Amino acid sequence: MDILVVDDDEETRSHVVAGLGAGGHEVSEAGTAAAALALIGTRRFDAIVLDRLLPDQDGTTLVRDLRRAANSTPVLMLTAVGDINARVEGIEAGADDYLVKPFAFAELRARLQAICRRGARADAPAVLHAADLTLDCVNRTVRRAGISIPLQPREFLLLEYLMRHCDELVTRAMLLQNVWKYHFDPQTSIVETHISRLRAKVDRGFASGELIETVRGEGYLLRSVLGGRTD
Amino acid sequence: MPQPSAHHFVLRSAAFRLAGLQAALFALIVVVLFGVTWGSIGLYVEQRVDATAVDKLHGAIRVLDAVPLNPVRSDALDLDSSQYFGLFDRSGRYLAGAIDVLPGHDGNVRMPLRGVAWVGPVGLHVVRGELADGRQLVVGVDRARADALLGRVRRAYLTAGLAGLVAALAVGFLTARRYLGRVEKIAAVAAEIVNGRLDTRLVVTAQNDEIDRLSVALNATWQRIELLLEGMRQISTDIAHELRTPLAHLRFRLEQTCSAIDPREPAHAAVSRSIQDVDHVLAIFGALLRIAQIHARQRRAGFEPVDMSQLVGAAVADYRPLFEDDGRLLHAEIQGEVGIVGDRMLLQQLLVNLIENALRHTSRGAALTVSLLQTPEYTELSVTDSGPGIPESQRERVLQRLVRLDAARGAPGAGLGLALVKAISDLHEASLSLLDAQPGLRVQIRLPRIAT
Repeated sequence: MDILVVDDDEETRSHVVAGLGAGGHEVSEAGTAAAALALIGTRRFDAIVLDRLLPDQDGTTLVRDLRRAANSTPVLMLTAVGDINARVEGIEAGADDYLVKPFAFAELRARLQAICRRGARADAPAVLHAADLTLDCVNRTVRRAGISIPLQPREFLLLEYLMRHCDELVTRAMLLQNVWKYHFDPQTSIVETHISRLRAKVDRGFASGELIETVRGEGYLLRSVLGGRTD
Repeated sequence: MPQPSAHHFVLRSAAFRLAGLQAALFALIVVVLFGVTWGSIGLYVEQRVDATAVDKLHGAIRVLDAVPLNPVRSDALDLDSSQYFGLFDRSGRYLAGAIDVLPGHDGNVRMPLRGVAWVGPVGLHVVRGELADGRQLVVGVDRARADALLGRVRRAYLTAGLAGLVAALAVGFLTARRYLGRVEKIAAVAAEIVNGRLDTRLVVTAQNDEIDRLSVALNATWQRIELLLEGMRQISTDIAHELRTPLAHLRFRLEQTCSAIDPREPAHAAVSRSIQDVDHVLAIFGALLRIAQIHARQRRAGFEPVDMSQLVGAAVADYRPLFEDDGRLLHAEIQGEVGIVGDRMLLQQLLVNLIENALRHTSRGAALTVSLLQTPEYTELSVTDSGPGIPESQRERVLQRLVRLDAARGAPGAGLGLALVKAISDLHEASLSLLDAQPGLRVQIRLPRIAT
């Protein structure tokens, strides 16, 4: 992927650039909004990692200008810790997601992947499939191998999110933000508990194997195909 | 408890007591003045009446000594309609005139008059004299006119005195009320400040009177307090702010180091733990900055209608598995269709903080009850646990930032949970109380319902 990293803090920028470069991405960097705009004018990026606080302009303004110019490049906004309003403002301005600095690199990677996929998938199907698991968003039913599985409302939303991002790494923070709509970090294992309950219902006792995988220290992943690895 | 009326406060005020004292002094002055006036006018009137009576007696004696009239007539003796006489023989037997009883002394007497149409005794000032032939003559002057004068003086004083007294009390009442009004304004502003609205100030009028001078002094005091508190708050916020970037760099570098080390090396685990520590510090700073931001926020900015029944129900459903897995109970008593106007995101965090707080500070087998109810006056959200509770003396303290009770030192957290709850509760103008659930802690949040 062709990714533009915009941040005036050199340390953050080099960290992101090094990490993404190691992941095989083509990375460009800019320290100011003006430099970023100049780069955006010359070529098309697959995604932009944009710091909210730039020396010459607010990151939200930059996103708003891009969207106004009908540029729909996925934007991941970086915001400072403790800045609650920045998150909402960034999304309202047209950013696709936000990430609080500092972040684990896995988190950045997962979110970039998610927002780039979102762009590719224009339609949101009402019935989702992953191996022998089917989730119907209209009737709110879940079936696996033909057996109907009753789920609690939150478990349903959790499974829906995992299935919409199947074969992608989904982090705990992404689940909190998108499934629970929590814009803060609960101190307890709420995500882990719900995942384990969901597993007990969806994965346990099915001969075809386990769909929900734990990626140690990073997050979760729901496989769309059982048996063979997709990566 | 019924509120005492405003008048009640006015009557009890120091200003009114002073006014009452003034009115009493005024009344005393009126009484003394009346006494002096009454005395001197009375004396003068008595002398005048006596002089008239003596004058008339001597005139009548002269007439009767010169011409022995028979029968004797008033006009012949130069007496007018309010002057009477009585003629008696040597032994005091009545001979002629309206006065038919010989008075025992000179001066004021009351007696009925002979031949006068209206009945009843009349007040007279009498003087006695003796004719050359030994007969006795009494002249009496009707006191009616003199008494009327004295009565008028008395009435005038009484009317003026009473009017003055009423006026003094009324002025005192009004002055006291005006003073009290200003004093109450000061009290109201002080109460606002106690409630956390530190930027509230007194209005100083152009009169530059003592209340204004007091207001200026108080405003300066409050300004100072605000600056000090702001400074304290600012320091923690500034520290968090300033340390954010170096900590971010530290975390990035640690992460890079970590990914470069073979996971089987012991150094890998050490660096991983360091990353966790940095994350913990960042979480504390995040919470501190969040509290500071909530404090600094415009009241009611970004508020929207929030379905509390739904919000509380969802949080309870989300956390019930955590309680159950741990052998605890989570009860919910949620009234349906409870709506308020507030910040959904922050209210969610408030509730989650309270639930997690209970989860953290209670042990296995404990029960938690989350309840939501609405009355016409307020919406009440309460979280009651059956844990060890918080001693009464410590309850105010745990709402402050970075305060952790000794008993909770071992538990995770940074002592910011309840401070954040307090900040969110303040933003919603709600009252937050920590109560004794016997045993356990009951956190009760009451949001006033706004009249629509």
